[in-house]
Amino acid sequence: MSATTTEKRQVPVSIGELAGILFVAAFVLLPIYVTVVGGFKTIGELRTNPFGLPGSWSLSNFASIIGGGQFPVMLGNSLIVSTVTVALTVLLSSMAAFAMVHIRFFGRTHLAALFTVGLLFPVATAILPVFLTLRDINLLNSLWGVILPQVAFGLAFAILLFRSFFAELPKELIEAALMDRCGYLGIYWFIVMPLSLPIIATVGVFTFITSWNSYLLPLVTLSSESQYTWPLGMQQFQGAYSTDWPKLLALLTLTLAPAIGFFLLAQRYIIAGLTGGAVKG
Amino acid sequence: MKSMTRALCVLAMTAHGAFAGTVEIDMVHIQSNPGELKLMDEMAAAYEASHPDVKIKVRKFGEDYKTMLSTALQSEDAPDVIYSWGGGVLSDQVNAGLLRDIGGVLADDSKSAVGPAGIDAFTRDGKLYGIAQNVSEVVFWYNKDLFAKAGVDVASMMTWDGLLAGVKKIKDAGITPISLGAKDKWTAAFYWDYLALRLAGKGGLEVARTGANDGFLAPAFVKAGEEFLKLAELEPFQKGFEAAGYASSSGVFGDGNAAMILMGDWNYQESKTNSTSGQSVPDDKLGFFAFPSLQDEKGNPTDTLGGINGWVFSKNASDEAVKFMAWYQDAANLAKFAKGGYYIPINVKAADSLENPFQRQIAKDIGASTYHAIFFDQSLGVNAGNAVNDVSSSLASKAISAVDAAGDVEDAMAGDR
Amino acid sequence: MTSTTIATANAEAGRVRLRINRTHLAAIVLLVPAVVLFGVFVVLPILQALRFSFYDWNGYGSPSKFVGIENYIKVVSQRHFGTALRNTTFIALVSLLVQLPLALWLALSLYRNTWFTAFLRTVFFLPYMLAEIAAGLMWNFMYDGNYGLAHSLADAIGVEPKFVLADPAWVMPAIAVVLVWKYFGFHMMIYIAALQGIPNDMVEAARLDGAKPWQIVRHIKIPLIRSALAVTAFFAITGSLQLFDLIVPLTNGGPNNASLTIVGFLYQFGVTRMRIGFGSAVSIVLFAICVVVSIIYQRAARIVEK
Repeated sequence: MSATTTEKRQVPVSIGELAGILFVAAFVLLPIYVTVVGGFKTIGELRTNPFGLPGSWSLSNFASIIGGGQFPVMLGNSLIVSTVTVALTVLLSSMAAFAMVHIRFFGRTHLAALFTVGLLFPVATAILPVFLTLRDINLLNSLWGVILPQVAFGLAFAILLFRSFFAELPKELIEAALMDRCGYLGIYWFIVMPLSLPIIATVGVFTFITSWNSYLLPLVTLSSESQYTWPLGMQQFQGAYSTDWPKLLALLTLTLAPAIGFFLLAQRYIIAGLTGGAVKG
Repeated sequence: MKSMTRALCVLAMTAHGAFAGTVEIDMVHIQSNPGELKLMDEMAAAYEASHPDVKIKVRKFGEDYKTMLSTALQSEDAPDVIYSWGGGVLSDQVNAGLLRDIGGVLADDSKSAVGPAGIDAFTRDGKLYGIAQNVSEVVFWYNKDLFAKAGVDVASMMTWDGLLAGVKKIKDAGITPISLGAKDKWTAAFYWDYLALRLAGKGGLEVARTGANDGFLAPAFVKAGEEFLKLAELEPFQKGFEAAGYASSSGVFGDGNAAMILMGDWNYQESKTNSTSGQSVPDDKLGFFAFPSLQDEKGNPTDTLGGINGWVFSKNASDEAVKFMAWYQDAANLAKFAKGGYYIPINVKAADSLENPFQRQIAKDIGASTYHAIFFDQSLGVNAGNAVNDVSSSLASKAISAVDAAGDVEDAMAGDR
Repeated sequence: MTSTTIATANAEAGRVRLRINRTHLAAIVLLVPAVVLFGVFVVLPILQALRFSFYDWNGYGSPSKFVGIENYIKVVSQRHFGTALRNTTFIALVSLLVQLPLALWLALSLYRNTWFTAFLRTVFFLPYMLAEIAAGLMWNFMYDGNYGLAHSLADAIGVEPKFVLADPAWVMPAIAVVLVWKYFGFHMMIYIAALQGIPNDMVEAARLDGAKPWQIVRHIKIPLIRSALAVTAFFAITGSLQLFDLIVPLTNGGPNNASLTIVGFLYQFGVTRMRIGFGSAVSIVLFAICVVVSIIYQRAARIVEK
């Protein structure tokens, strides 16, 4: 070991440990690698040589998916659903959390407890009544029918994150603003929200991932293909082409790309969120 | 005379509609053959061209939504025209008052074109709720080459015991006897359906549905499970069949990796789509035979299992929607679909346009059928129907006893009676 | 400035009532949207599920056939319900006993910032970003006895390929592997975030006192990230109770319902069969399990805190 302080602090990683870490990395990457190269192969090649590089980098599977018409539609639907879900979740949960933390009103602890119950009640459990509710208010087979319940079920966690963030804002700030006769709504919008960009980003990122990947709610809500979100389309695709593995793998590769890109963009907020809100929650 | 006034009425209403603006017809289905989809759109466009006041929206529903459709029907903007498999699901929809009685709107010509079986399939309590379109039949498809290799004569497959012996022989020759996609449970249900149909017969099935004589726990149904288990004991299915879906299993057959598949007439096309080569078993090597008959069966060897599918109308559907479907279903138009080989039309005149020899033969068989039983997962309703599917896939992998299997079906049925 | 404001406020004491009203108004405006949405789509469905669970109802019209607790008896006596409970418990145990230790070990090795650790963290977090459906499909391919890893492995050792997803004995372990693959990175990130918050001098002081690395981990690092450990345990358990999406593309609950989870059971026997009463009874049972687990969790967390 050299004498510089930084390296002294470094926990020495033994050869065995390094080997273990690399083994886990291989375990994580293998399916992803196989998927990516598989999309370029023919079905016969896949059978004889699933792990090697493809004989030729043929783009035909990708082209047929992207040109297939359904692809942009599903992508568009997923984007609409996720974006609107994020916007509404951030807005509604921050509003509610602000009121719960900074305004004294009767029953606010009970209200906070009620929202916490939401953490224990997954959408899967409520799927039948939610379905019937959507039917009664005529939101079946509409993207709003996915968005609104998604926001409702995301509120519990988002409010928790916002509450712990708002609780740490200096009380004096709010009081001073109140004395300046700035109303609570004004404080929320002009003072608190601009200070809350990190937590907004965190809530937004996690809400986006959950919404983008969600399956069960769109499954029971959306019935016509023109409304399908991406995961629904994928599952549908598997049913239709379950024997055409190269095409399926190409489709999966196309799913991977935005996920990786999104992670690289949002990495900061993801880690910030995990340190900030979640751990204290 | 009566129909004349009705026709006038319809005309008057159409005229009214023209003044009021356009009539929208929302039509939903789950067809997937690209050729058929294209033809459906063309038909809609053609009708719109000759009826400027009508707008037709043809929508494809996902396969997962079969069960959801019933409930989607209860929403305000329910589709007007809905593809239907009839059966217990239709009864549920009718009982809930969700469908429209079209007996008064549909012209007599259209009624006679579908024949008595077509009318029957969509009639509940004397009222007509839909227009039958196509029929299907489940048969044993087989690969002539593989039979020859194993030294099995297809004539010996006429009896269940013969089939069991044949399966053994094929297996001994190192060939997978049967392809099955039990992840999609309905594929396994065809075995239980057919065995129950043979052993209990039409009469036995009708009694069982009422719950009399132990319902589906009656000896014939337990025996159906036992016979299915006898087949499963031989381990006739391809490796990994429990995790394979229908598409995969039809590909296995199409690739010549299994000697038989018990499947509907549609498998002719599907095996092509799902085989590696896209060609499936060549026509001259491909054959089919009816489900074998059993000892002591109460049914008839010429009873068939399959579907009579068609279109039903939600309660808010306009007369215009019925008129459009009557036109869509006339012999000349159906003939186009028959020509493409997309399905076997129930309309006999249109069925003449079938070009595919296999489909022609199957159409003839259904015509000669002594009793055409509807797929149990349709005829018994959603709950008991799914119970049949569930126990059948378990029987295929010997994971349930014949008595428990019959018991599960009876339990589900009892809840619905 | 503050003192003048207070003075003004005192001077205008007569307007205090007005301000309280405006405060309440603000609270209402801020809370109503969330409360309404939460009420309509979360609270109401729980109450509705509770009500439906006492009816035999196929979803048409309105529920009219009251059957008391019959649905609950049916749920408990259904032959596959036990399987679903067992599988869900198995998943929860794997999450707690395999996934979390793996995540902790990796976090301890990788929490310092270098380009290499940053790269590996990205790699390990990647599966969490993927949709459950996509992850399930990928592994469906890996497990495919005709094409995937299973096929190649069997080929290499010269045996018949095993279709793990078709075998009731292997299917749950196979799913557990996918589960660990998909989620351990998420837990690892939580640990890393917590570890990075540990003041360096504490570790340094212990080292100077002659503590061995494993002692530092055991006596300093782990106690200091206790709350992160508690949070991941909570996520692991609730996640296990809700597992469904990942299994659909893998097995759809098969073979022969051998891989049903509680939610899978709810979907298979409640939703697709349109038995609203029965399905609602399953929902209520699952909700009750969630509540009980969270009470136990809170008790346990309190004991650990002490």
